[in-house]
Amino acid sequence: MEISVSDLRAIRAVSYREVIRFLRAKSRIVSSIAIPLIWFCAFGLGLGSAFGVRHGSLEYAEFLAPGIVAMTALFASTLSGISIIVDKEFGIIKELLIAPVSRFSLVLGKLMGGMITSLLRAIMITILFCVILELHVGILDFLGVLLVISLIAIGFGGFAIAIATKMESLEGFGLIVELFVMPIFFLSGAFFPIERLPGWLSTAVLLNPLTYGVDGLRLFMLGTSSFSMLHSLGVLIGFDVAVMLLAAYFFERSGV
Amino acid sequence: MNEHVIQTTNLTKQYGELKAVDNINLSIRRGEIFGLLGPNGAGKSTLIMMLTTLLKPSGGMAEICGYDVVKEPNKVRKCISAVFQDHTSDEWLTGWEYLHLHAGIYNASEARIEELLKLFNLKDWENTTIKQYSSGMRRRLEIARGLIHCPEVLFLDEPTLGLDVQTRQMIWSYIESLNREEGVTVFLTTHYMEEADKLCNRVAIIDGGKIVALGTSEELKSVLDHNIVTIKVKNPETVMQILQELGVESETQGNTVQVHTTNSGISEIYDLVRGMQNDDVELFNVKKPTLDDVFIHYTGRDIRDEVSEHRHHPLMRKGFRRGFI
Repeated sequence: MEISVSDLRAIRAVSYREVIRFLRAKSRIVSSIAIPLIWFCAFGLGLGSAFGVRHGSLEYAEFLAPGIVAMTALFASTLSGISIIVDKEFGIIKELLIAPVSRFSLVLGKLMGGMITSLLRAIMITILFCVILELHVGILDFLGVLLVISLIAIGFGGFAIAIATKMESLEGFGLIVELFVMPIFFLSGAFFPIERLPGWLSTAVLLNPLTYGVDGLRLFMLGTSSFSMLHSLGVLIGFDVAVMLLAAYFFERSGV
Repeated sequence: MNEHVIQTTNLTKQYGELKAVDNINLSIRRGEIFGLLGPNGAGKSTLIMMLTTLLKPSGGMAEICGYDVVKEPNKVRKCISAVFQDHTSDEWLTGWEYLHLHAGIYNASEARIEELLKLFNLKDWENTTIKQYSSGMRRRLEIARGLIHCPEVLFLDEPTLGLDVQTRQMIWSYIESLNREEGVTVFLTTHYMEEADKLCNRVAIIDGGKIVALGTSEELKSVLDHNIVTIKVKNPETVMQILQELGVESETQGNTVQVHTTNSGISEIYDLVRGMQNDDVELFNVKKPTLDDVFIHYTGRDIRDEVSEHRHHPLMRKGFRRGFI
């Protein structure tokens, strides 16, 4: 697949538009901080201290924090799909489709835009957690956090785009996303350590790409993890490549 | 350079049994403003979608600027632009950001953005979000966007749909001036007779996916050799009598005599009236056929019926009948 200079310009333009859209919608910025915080307070602080749950030397709130960061990136990435459906509904996408650029570059632009907005959200949340929990994350580890967030955003953003090309309405997409997103989140080891699960649950968790995202974040934020860094990053990168090809394939085929 | 910028040969789009576009052959010259006139569902948008490479034809071929829309879509895309029926500008962006975004994709200069903002009188609004624009402003901005890379052909799908009369006339003058000053060939669809009549060099009437008539609006009208002459006089009886002697049928209503006649018949009646005493004649009026009449002639129905049918939802009509509304 060749990418020309005009394709690069298209990627830049499309991602720039996604970022502006995010920054213009104040409600989105507020909810992107509020929702993860609500989860964190209810489960990490509420449930954790009420039942006195701990994981080794970690308090439950600390254990949960990387999972919530992963959740932020996961939820944000579904917005790429929503953005495609909105573009389709209003015909905005036609303006891009008549431009002399490859379809793949439009997918990449959407993905890049989704990645940047995911990063913006996740950075805010990570910094907030570092302050609340008094975590000390070094520069290199912080860069690691950003890398994992980007990989999650690209993978699940691509997944959302692939689904979105098949969907006509926002309502339908919302249903499908709920069907996928909640199980992916719950079965990612965000809430519990994955070592002592019953067999079937363990299989589901190990097949879930987000598991490796959560584990990677835990490694960079807390210094503890179930898998090695290379293992987690390797799985995530493999997932991203597969999903991007799938999204490009669907996008190419959809007449729009 | 090829003189014909758009050339279609038996272009067809079939959905199951339905032929949305049925063997269309068109040649559009460089620099023309060409209008495709037809009711809703006649195949106008489908045709535009195929010509702008958004939809694959099921048969026939189309060439834009000498490139095949199926085989060389990217070359076609470089020389065309399109403004679609619904507003497709992103309301979260400001006017400038919107043009800047597209300038980015086409590698157009900042100077071009400035030039277009001035041409379309949007300079004062460049930093306002599109959400706050009126319909007419949004349409102007979208046409400006379409011109960002100086395309050779601009497709406009119902450019003035839903706009008020004044705004519509303003959009026409913009289209005329960009055609004149930038030499852009304009291909537009419309179901407004006036738009086709005033704006377009040539008009094609499309119905049921087929082109049923094509020519300048004068040529189309001249096909109908049927005029209505209205004469208002002091003594209609005298006129009636003379007309009867000439073998021309007429109707009277009070002081007004109405005659249906051919093109050559007009001068005959005119001579007759000139022969009468000056203060006898109060009014002499010839109603030439309009594009509406031409449309009815070719399609067997009035375009306005279709439009109003669309506007009134069946349920709403039920409401009218029961007296709810």
